[in-house]
Amino acid sequence: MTAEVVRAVAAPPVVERIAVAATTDLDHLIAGEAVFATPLAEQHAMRDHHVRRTLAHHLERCAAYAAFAARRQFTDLPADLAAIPVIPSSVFKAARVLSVDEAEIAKWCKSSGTQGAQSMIGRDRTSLERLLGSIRAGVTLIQDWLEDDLEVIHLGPDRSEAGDVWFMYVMSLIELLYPTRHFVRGGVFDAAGALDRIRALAGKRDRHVAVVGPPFRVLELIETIERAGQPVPGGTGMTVLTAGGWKRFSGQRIERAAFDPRVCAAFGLASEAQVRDAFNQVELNTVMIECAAHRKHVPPWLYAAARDPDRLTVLPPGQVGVMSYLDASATSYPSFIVTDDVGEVHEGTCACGRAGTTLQIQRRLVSVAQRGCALTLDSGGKK
Amino acid sequence: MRSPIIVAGDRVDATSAELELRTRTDEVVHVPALDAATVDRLLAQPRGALADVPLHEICAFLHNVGHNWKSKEYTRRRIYERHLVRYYGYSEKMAETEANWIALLLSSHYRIYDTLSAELGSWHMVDSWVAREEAYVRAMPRGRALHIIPGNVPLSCIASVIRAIATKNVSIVKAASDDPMTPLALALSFMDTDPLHPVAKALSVVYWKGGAEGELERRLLADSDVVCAWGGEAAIEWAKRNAPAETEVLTFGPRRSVAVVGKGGDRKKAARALAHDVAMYDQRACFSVQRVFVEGPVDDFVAEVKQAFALYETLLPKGKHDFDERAGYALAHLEAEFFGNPGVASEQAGWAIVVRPPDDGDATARHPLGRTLYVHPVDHASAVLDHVGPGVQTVAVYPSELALPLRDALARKGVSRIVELGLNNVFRVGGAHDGMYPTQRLVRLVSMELPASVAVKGIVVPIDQTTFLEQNRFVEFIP
Repeated sequence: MTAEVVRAVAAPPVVERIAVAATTDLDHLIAGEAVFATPLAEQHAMRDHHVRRTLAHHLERCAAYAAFAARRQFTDLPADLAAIPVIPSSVFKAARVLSVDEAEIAKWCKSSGTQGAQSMIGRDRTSLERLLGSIRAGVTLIQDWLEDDLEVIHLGPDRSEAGDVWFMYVMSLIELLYPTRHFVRGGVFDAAGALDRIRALAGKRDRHVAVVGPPFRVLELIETIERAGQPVPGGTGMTVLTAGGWKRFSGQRIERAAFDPRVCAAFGLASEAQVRDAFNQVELNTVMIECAAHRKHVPPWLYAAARDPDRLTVLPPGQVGVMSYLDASATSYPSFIVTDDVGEVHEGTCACGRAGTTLQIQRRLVSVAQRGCALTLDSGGKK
Repeated sequence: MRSPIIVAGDRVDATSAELELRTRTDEVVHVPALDAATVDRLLAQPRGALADVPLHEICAFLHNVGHNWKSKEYTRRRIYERHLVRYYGYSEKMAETEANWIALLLSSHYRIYDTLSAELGSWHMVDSWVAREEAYVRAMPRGRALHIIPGNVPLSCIASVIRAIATKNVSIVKAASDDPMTPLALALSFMDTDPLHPVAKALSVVYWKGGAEGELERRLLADSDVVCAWGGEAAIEWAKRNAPAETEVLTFGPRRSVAVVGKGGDRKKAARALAHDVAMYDQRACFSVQRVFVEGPVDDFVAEVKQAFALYETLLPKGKHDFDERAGYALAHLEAEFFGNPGVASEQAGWAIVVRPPDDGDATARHPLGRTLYVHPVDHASAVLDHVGPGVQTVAVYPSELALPLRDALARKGVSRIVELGLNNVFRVGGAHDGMYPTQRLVRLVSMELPASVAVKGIVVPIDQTTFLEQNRFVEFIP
């Protein structure tokens, strides 16, 4: 959809009409009601269309990406998605790669830096709004709540305190969608306060409660509940949504097979389907949330593929590889990335009943240096 | 494969539980798990089992073991080489080279004597009292040495155990999941030579999953007198955090190494030496060269290195790498391509040379290893000083004279070793290892000091402190 803007110019009086893309069909898709409800073939057609259009934008606006594509001798337009050049996400640790003027950047987003240097991603307003849209769309995989149906207990800081650190910022965005209370202030997690609020809301018929936070904070809350010996009576009215991974608390990591039952026991949940995880990384502009079958659904503006470790070529669905994405929702930087995650992509009808693409992230790549005594600078050497 | 563990020189094929290891070649190895009964047996072994065995006897035994290893027909060696290929992913030539090095370290009895003399002052000190100025000193074994072995360099297990045996400690080796074969092959070769020999009885080999240490592993650590912790940060941190205060913890790694090539000398020779130091262990070792700082234009030198790398593809063909290593290699090269760094790579991802400015910081920091060489053109060799610190173990220089103008500044920066390019893996007798003389830390020095009847050097009267105080004449005896 386009809007006409009338620009008045001083003498001689001339009226200039220019077309501005105020909202696009991609924005309509992201903001739509049925993101995950379309047939697979239709999703693929939409995805191919949006990714190709975004590719043209980045080739035109991002000199570094265009030069890279030229070096890769990429001329295949309209592109086979599997052939579109992907940038290692580590590039964003070493350089600021943009497809817009720096003045258009509304927020510089930093990775947590758990594994060395931090990525820096510049997002313009369009990219940020679409990111928020992806969260809203992803939440519909849990349930399509109206704004007042849900209250969020956020085990993290609010947006102002989250600052530029990506995983904290992304989680805090939930406050823009639903009434939210944050329980990290000044860097300190108020587990007792969060628990009091959860208990106060548990069992209210008119309100669903979502406990949202990184898994290590959820674990801290579980331990607090277990010490008290009094589970929360969550029943069917509560969902626990984790995101952000274990970060520097990886030593406490609990596998999902053990984590979910503990969450259910502590929060008194009726089903493990009420424990969900969300996935995102700073270089990716889309948040993916699990369905009841614990699959992360890929929305139809995002191409996700696992790649073979030798040539980084795309593998067929179902094979384990290095995860990569072509995210059409990012306008300010090419979110055409290959990451440090190992996972697999599935296509077809999910156990939750939706048709589409789903992915499962298994783990992060382990560098040689992390295993042996050969140190690389990135693994923590002092200079 | 089903692999045993060794408890004080006895082969143990089963305990109450079993662990499954998956090697980098995706093979499965089943190993008896540590259980309470095994830990009891390990800890029941006397700490002083080697204390009264003369060094000659120890060296002779190791020499005999080494002679077996020297024979390419020795069954244990042949099995070991096969295992390195199958489970560790080594090429046959890499496996053969590793077995040769094991034979060399075990057979070099003179090297053991000379190392002890260089590091302790005299090898006699481990056998008897040695006069040192106004005392007789003896180097006593600390007792029980726990070796936490890395999976990147099989030979480090051999070096660690030989040091402990030469200083008469009994050893428990925790094998790496990548390489359960090397400590086991060593212990079994001891038993092949003489299963009742005290040195054979002084070696145990066990396995547990790194990062999953529990009560049993902590018991072993708590009852060790010295820990040799090699490898990644996690293993070293566990040992440092959990060892009792009185336990000596020697840490080896994690570190990296670099090379400097000056304007002089034969660049073809430099390229061949460089290729060797990159190819050994496929850059997994802490002494492996990852980056080279080259004075002057680099194009001709890169061409020489390319030829040398191609040669090393036949001399020491690259081993098999697992999923993560291959992916790391591919991602790093794609990143270099994004930044437009010129470079050249072999067709089969056997090696790669990437020319990068020395100051591109973070991109260079994420080195993928796997025979990838970052070449940094510099105006002067001293530019390397901006890129080294305590995290750097070895600086290899070419030509060797380049060490002289650089050594003071490199030492101040915190590096551990300066060697001629091509010799990174040759730890010369007398050379320091990660800033220390390891055998000094494996012994407890005990002194028997001279009696009062023997005058202190520079003081002409016997020591009688009571008389000195009674007569208040102390100052008269101050030299």
